[in-house]
Amino acid sequence: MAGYIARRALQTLPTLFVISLVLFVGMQALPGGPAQALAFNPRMSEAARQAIIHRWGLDQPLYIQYFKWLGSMLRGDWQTSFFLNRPVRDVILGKLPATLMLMTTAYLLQELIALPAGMLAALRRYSFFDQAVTFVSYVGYSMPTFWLGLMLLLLFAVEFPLFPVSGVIDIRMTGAPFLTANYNDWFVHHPLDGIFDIAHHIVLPAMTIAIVGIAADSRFIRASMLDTIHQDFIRTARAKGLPERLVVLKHALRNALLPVITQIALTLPFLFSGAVVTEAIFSWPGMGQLFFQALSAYDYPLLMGILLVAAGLVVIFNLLADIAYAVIDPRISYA
Amino acid sequence: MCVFTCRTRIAAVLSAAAIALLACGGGGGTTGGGTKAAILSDYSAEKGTPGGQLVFSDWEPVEDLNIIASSAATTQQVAQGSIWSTLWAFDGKNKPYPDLVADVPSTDNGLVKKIDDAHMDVTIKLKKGLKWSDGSPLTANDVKFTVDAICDPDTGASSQDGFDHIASQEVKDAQTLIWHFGPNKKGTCGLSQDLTNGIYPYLLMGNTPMAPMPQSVLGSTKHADWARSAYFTKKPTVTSGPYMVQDFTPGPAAQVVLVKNPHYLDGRDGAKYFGHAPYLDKLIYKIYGDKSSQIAGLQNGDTDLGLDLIAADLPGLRAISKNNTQTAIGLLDEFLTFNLGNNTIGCEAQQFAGTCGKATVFKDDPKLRQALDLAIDKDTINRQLVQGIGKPMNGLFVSSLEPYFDKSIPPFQRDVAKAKSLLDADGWTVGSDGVRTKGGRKLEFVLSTTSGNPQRAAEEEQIIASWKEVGASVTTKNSPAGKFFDSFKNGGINATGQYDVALYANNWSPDPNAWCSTYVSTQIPSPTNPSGNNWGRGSDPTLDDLCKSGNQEVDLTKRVDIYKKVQAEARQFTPVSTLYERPDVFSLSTFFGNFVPTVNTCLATCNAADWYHKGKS
Repeated sequence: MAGYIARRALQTLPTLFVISLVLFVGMQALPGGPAQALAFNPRMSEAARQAIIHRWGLDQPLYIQYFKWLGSMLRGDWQTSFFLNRPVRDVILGKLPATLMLMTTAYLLQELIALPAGMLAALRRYSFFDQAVTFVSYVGYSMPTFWLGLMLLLLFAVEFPLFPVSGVIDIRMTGAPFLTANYNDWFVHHPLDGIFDIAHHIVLPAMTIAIVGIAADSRFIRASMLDTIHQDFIRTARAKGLPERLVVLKHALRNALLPVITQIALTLPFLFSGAVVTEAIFSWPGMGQLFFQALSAYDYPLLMGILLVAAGLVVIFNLLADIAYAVIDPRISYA
Repeated sequence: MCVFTCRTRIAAVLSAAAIALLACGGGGGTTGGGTKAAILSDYSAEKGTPGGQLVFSDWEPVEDLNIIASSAATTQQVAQGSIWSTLWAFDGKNKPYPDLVADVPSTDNGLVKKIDDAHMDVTIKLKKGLKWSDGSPLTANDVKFTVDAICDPDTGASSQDGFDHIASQEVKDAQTLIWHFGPNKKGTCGLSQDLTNGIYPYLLMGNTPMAPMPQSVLGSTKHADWARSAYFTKKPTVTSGPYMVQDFTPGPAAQVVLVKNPHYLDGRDGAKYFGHAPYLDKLIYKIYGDKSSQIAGLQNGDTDLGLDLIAADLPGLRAISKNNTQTAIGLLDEFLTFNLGNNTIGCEAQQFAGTCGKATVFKDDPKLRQALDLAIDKDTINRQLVQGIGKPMNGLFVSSLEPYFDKSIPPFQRDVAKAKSLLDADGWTVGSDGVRTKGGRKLEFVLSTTSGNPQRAAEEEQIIASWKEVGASVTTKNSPAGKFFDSFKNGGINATGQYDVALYANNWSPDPNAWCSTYVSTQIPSPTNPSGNNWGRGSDPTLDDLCKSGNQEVDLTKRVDIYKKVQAEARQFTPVSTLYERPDVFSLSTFFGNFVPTVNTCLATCNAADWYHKGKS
């Protein structure tokens, strides 16, 4: 197993290199570019415009730009965002906590509801519960996120102001933006208020993300569970007289989880990427909005930073999924 | 980062060399150092009560706080007037009032002196005793230091307009700096060619009110490093405005928390403008993820003031019972530019200004242009598409361009019969298909604007319907804003003349020559003059002469007279059809004190020092 992990880890390096090259070339192929923003300002002198282009390194051949970027990354310098003028790593790390908090909450909520719902729907196939889960799933899955988010916002934050409209914290109460030194100081002195404040703010955006996810995952789990409980080994377990609880939880669920693990492993990297639409609706200071801004502004270093981290996570979580298979299914061996 | 199309509060002005000397003439008493009241602002704020906090908001990202280099409205509206004080500011009527200076320079108070036709001196006289937020003195050296930085291309200043007319600076004492305007060589302060005349409307330096930077902090930072310095990207430690930055998180969902500057009152106590300590304990600037969220925030009370709103938002905003909705028209207008040269579609880049392309129907036909202007149903456009809060236009200048706007020009009145008779007299005869023809050429052309803009698309429909009534067959061909407004070198649609008639907006300067220069023949773009502003390519010798005269005239009365003639000539020549003065919309809580809706280079946040929370009385 250790050898397998080492081999796979080594394979990720050329994979990431190729991904970075494809991303870099792909970005350059987009129509427009960062300098276009400067061209929009007719009052900026050509000399000032050229100075900025030089500062960004865009006056150099493409391959030099790429290798300079690669060299910087290998040295641990993720370069500086064109428009935020801050180190890319700092910008990403600044937005990551809010995104991880939102996406993890939404994901836990999603799986805590989808797993039992999908499982029960499969075990009670064609029952009222199954029909209800199916109906709710289809409704949830067919709702566009932007519409659902706006409806939740208007209903529960404006019409019935039970939850806040925006952000991760109430800045009027904290007096400082999330995770700044002043905020952290405030939080230390008001931990309960701080936790409640965040929990209060996270409900609507997390629900927006989770509702769509619950719909999809419950259907997936139901299908996987149905496949499993009709297998011979389940019939054998029942014939042996095992209690139904053991049959379901020990034998059926464990096997049904294999494809679910694959799906979870592929989904987890996207927890990092954030949710563009939901973050925009709830003004959540996370990665989703940051990515969208970087894309809109052709902020190449920031885009490369975000995309490469996302790509790296996909590779890593795929590896983790493979390892998890071996742990869950003793038939699989990487020795 | 948009310019002509969207944000009203970006200083996107095609200003060129011009003069706005506050000269003698006109009635009225004197204020401050003696500048005529007719020109100086009559802005006055009510006395506020200290305490409390207010939240003002936008929905576009704040990238940094670089007031020198950023052309983004969000950066400017949190920086101007709140974090950094400016030498002077402009009120809603585009009249200046002093901030850091003791008096706005003018010929009347002797702070502006014309030396000869190419030279002038402007004396910047700061208030005595001004201090930075760290208690160190704010002096004329800081102003000089900032001008030097703006002029260095490495700083990446968003505009060097006007500063490139300063031949030298002379610090007389801690409060006094003289800007010597005069000819400059190519390369000086970003000049792309030699400057032979140093006369300039100094009030518009950089086109936004000028904010000095602290030499004590930035003096050791190379200009090329300013943009990435912690001072502009994280926390400006030493500032001059009523508030200091406590915290700043950039990007989408940005937040800026401002607290009182303890030294703001130093040197200002008792001054007519901003002669008091800041009222609020905290002023918070909050960015929403999108406009729907911002409006929800206004409804919910999450924010006390919403900026960057437009007429289409009005119905939703008016439904907020606890808020006031205010609107303002300023220097932003929506207009059609007739291409008076060749439509160069299909031409190679180097041929854009030559004989390549096909002459548009508008070329050499002012009667046609007048008729098309008369035929447009501007009232319906204003009523249906701008909620009736814009103002249909009947001339070159917007009504708030005081004192230059010619009030004797009657309001626009659509007159289809007169338009038809003008076309008949001009030789345009109606064919069997209803489309007019002249000399074998049909009255067919293409209307172009920015794609993906529902407002513009609706305007196009209205305009085409209006023109159809008088026998014009019009189709549309729109382009993404990036291509539409791109530079001459990059093959921009307008800059290179690849259109027949173009629809867009511009946020103009408070000086008439900035408008004038857009229509003079020397500004026609070409490979040798790629930055020329005259995208319509019109050439009218009378207009050229009048604009040149206005540029050289010091006497205000005579200058006003010249620009009235410019407006009359423009009505005859009709290089553009101005549609309506475009409004900005603001929504604010009833307890928000001293908010002044302003739509000009100074933004609505210039008087943030006067803002207060009425609930704290």
